Amino acid sequence: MDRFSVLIWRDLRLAIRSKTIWLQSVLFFVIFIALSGIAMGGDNDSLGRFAPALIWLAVIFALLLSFEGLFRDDYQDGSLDLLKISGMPGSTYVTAKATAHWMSIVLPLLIVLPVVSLLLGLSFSTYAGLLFAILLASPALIILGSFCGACLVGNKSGSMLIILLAIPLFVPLIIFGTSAADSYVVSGWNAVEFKALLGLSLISCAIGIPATAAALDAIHE
Amino acid sequence: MFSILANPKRFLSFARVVAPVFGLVALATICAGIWMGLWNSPEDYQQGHSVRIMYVHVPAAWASMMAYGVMAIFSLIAYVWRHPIADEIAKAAALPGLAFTFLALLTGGLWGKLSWGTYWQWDGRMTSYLLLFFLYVGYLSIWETIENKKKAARIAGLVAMVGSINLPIIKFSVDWWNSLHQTSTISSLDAPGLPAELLWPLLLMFIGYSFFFGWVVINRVRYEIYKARKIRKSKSPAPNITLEKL
Repeated sequence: MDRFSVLIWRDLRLAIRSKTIWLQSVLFFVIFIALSGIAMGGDNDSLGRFAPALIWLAVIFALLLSFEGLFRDDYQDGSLDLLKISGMPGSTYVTAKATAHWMSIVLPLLIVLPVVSLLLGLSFSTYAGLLFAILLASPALIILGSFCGACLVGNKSGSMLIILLAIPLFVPLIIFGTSAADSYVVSGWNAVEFKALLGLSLISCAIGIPATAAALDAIHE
Repeated sequence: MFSILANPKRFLSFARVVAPVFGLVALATICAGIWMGLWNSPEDYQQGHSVRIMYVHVPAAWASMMAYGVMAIFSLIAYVWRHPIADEIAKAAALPGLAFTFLALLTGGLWGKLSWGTYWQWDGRMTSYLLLFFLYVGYLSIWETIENKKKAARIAGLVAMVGSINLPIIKFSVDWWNSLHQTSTISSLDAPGLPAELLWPLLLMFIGYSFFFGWVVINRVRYEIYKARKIRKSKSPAPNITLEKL
């Protein structure tokens, strides 16, 4: 196995054993949806109208809370130093970490998504649009979030600041993502929002992966 | 051209000449722009006197985008060539940029209340300006949070560069989300969609804002250089031992 997949396997094993990462975000996701359902009076009509926005908010917040820990353990126990000495390119490391993070955070959320959309009374086509939108936006969300996490790794007062840094980068994705669910119902795959999301994801990966690697380098200097 | 100014000493002698010139030009053009805008321009047949908010609002919005551009470009220069002055310029550009963004949001809200009947609307232009505001706040808080200044400069530079993904979104938001905020009228200097008596004060104000921005940035960098020198001087002097004494 090459180094890339070794890293992914290591992170996935860690995630499965510790359970905190994926369980926390899934629990947060479900609790957020349940609470907003209760807070909005449980009226199915208004819930259905706001459901895509609520689900997007839940996804965003569940993700935002996860980036603080992404590089923290590697930074604290010194494996980041060892990986750097081993000659592994920074962008390979970042890509592996981001892929593993996607699998341990976004994938569980996508698995819970059908249940949640049943709870909110979503139609199937809205659900499908939402699923595609989250799938297309998630690379950008993960990469931009890991960039913000890398900028403040090892910083004690970092968690709030990570959210502050990430919010302006996430907002275009939220805007296109929420409207994508509605556009899918009308115009299917041709909805312009999907192209915008895909474009944003590609740009974010192209800029975000080297930037994250550079940020981790700068932390070490 | 910029590499000449990378030397702090040369930068200081450059700044000693340029800063007062910038300050005076800014004062003169802003005064002229305010006079032309507030007294010497016709009022709008629909909006009345409230149209004069434009002379504060539009240049502030332009200047805030320009300030972010300056910040991102100098962050790139500092990142690639590691010029400490470029870092200082990027850092110095952030606070006036934040102030311009705040001014644009504030006057936009007041103007919106008068002409649209609402202080705020979640349309593309306003939301994206709020994002610009958050970008500035995030950039500045990096400098405050990370104690090691060299590290802070690297990280803040990266944040500024990654944040510049949003600049085109902010610029073109009015065209993409066609909503309450009007699209940009002035697309090029040759064919402005604005009559001359309105355009002139607007351009004067923008020139004034730009020179004011330059004046603030140069003076902030100067201050940082003097501060760094003072810290270096106040440290205990190096032991004065020569080889002969040993």
